[in-house]
Amino acid sequence: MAENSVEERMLELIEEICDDEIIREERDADLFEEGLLDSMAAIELLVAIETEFGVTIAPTAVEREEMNSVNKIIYQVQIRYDAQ
Amino acid sequence: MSRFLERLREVSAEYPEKEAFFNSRIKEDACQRLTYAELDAWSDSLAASFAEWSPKGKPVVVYGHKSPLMLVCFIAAAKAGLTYAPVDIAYPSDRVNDILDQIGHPLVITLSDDEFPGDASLADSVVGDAVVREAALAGRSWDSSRWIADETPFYLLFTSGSTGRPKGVQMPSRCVDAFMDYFRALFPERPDGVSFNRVPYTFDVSLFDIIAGLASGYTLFSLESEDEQSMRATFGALAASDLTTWISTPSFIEMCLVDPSFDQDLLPRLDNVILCGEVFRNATALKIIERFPEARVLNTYGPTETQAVTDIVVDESLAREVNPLPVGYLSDGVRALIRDPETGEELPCGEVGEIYLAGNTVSAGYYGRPDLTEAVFSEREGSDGAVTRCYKTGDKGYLDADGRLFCLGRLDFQVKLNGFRVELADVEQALVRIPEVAEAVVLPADRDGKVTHLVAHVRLAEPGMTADFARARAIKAALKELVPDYMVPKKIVFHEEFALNVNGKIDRKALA
Repeated sequence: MAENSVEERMLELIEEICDDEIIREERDADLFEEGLLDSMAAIELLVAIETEFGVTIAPTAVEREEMNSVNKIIYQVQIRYDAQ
Repeated sequence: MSRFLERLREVSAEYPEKEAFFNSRIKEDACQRLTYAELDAWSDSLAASFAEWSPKGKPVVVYGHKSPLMLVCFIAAAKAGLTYAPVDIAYPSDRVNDILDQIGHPLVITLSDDEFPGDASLADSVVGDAVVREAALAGRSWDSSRWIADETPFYLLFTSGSTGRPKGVQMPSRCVDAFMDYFRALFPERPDGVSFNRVPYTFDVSLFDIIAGLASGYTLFSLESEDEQSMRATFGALAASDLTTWISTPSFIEMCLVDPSFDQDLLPRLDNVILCGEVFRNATALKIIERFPEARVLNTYGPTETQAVTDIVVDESLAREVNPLPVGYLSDGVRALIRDPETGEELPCGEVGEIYLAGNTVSAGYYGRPDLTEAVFSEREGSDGAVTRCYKTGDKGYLDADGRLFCLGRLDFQVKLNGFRVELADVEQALVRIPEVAEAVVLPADRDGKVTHLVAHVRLAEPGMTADFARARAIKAALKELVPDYMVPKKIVFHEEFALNVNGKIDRKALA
C-alpha cells in the first residue's frame, strides 16, 4: 500500500459523503459551516471510516471541533491508522 | 372542556412534587425544571395574563427551544382558550415573519437565549422571558370554564408548504383528547416514567409526550441546543436522565447506535422505544433490540395533519421476517383507505395506492388557507351515518390482510430528511428569491433507500456569472436567511440551461 493512501482514500470518502469535489481544494474549510456536513453525515463518515480502514472512532470520542475540516478528519484517521 | 387539561389537573393533584419537565441545563441551573404543581399553578396565572395580552381568538406565537417555560406557555394558552403556535429557533427571520404575517399581528412570546429574530411590527406585542416568568409566578387564579374545548384548535404547527410558504396545521382540542385516549396506552404505567422530549416543538412528534406523557404522569426530559451539538454532551445528558421511554426519529437513534456505548448500560431503565417520522429500517430495529433487550420497540406513523394513527410492536421475529416493516395497526378512532391515485377508486387490501386517513384525530385544515384545506381534506360519512374528516396523505402504501398499514414513500415532491418534512418546491421557491438565481430544481439524493441530503440544480441570472465554490457558498448563505438550515441543499450544481420535457417544464428526471 502506498504511503499516502490513507489521505487519497479519505479524500474519496469525504467527497462521496459531502457529495462535492470542492472538499479537495478547501481542506481547511469548516465543513459544518459550509453546509457540506451535518451531524447525520458526520456519523455516516465515521461508519464509512470503520468499514474502509478498520479504524473505529466512536461519535462520543471526538468533539466536532476536532473533525470539522478535511485536514482534521484525515489527521484523526491517520493517527489511529498508524497506531494499528 | 378539554379532557386533556382535566387529566393534567388530576395528575398535578396526585403528584404535585413530581417533575413534569426538565432539560439538560439542569446540571448548571436548577431553574431548568418544573414540577406538576408549578406547571398547573404557573399556567393558571399566565393564562390570566395571556387573556389580557392576546388579541381575542388569535393564536399565540411561542418562540424558543426547550426552556421549561415553553411548556408553561402552551398549557397557559390552552387554559386561556387560545391556540398556541410554536416557532423553533431553527427558523430564520424570514420564516418567522411569514408566520406572523399569516396569523396577522398575534401576541408573541419569546423564550429564546437570543433576541427575537422576527419583525416586531408584525406582532401585536412581543413579550420576553422576564415578563412571562413574573406573570407565571404572580399567583393569579383562573377559572376552568375558560379552558379550550371542542373545535377550537389546541395547537397550530407550521410545516413546509409547496407554495414556498409554511402552512399551519390546526389541531382541534377534541382531536387532542382523542389522541390522548389512543396514545396513553403506549406509555407503560410506572410511577417513575421519564420520556425523551427531544424533537423541536414545531414537529408533531413532540406532542407524543406533551399529551400522552403528561396525561400518564411522566416527566419530560429534553436536550438544550448546546447539548444537541455534541454527541459527548448528548450522551452525558442521557446518562443522567433516568430515561424510561425513548421517542425520536429513526435517524436520530441510528446516529446514537453508531456509538458502542449506546446500550442498556447507558440507559438502564429504558423499557419503551417509540419511533416515528420516517422509514424505520429492519437493520435499525434489530440493533435496538440487541442493545436494549429489556425494551419494547414501537414503530408508529402519522402525518402532522392527523397525529400518529398507527403503532406496532417490532420484535425480533417481525424485524427478521417482514421487510419493509409495517407502520402498524390503526388506532380505534381512525380508518385507512387505499385509493388509486389516478382514479380515486378504493382498492382492496394488498394493493398499493394512496393512503387516506379518516377519523377522530384528523386536523381541521390549514390556517387561513381554505384553498389548500379543500384540496386534501374532506368529510366522509361512515356506515353508521356519522361524519368523519378524511385527509389525503400523499403517502403511498397498502393494508395487509391483518389490518397492518405499510408505507412505501411519497407520491409527490415531499421528502423526509432526517425526519424533517420538506417540500422540494419550498426550497426551490426560496432559491429563486435570491437575485443571482434564475431557475432552480431541488432533488433528493439517497443512499440505501433513505434521503441523505438535497442537491440544488441552479441556473444563474446572468450567463457571465462565475459558477464556483464561492458562488455556491454565497447562495447557501442567502438561503439560510430564508429557510431553516435543514432545508439548505448540501450541493449546488450550476447549469447554463435546463433540458425541458414534452410539457415544456424542466425535466427533473434528466437531472436525477
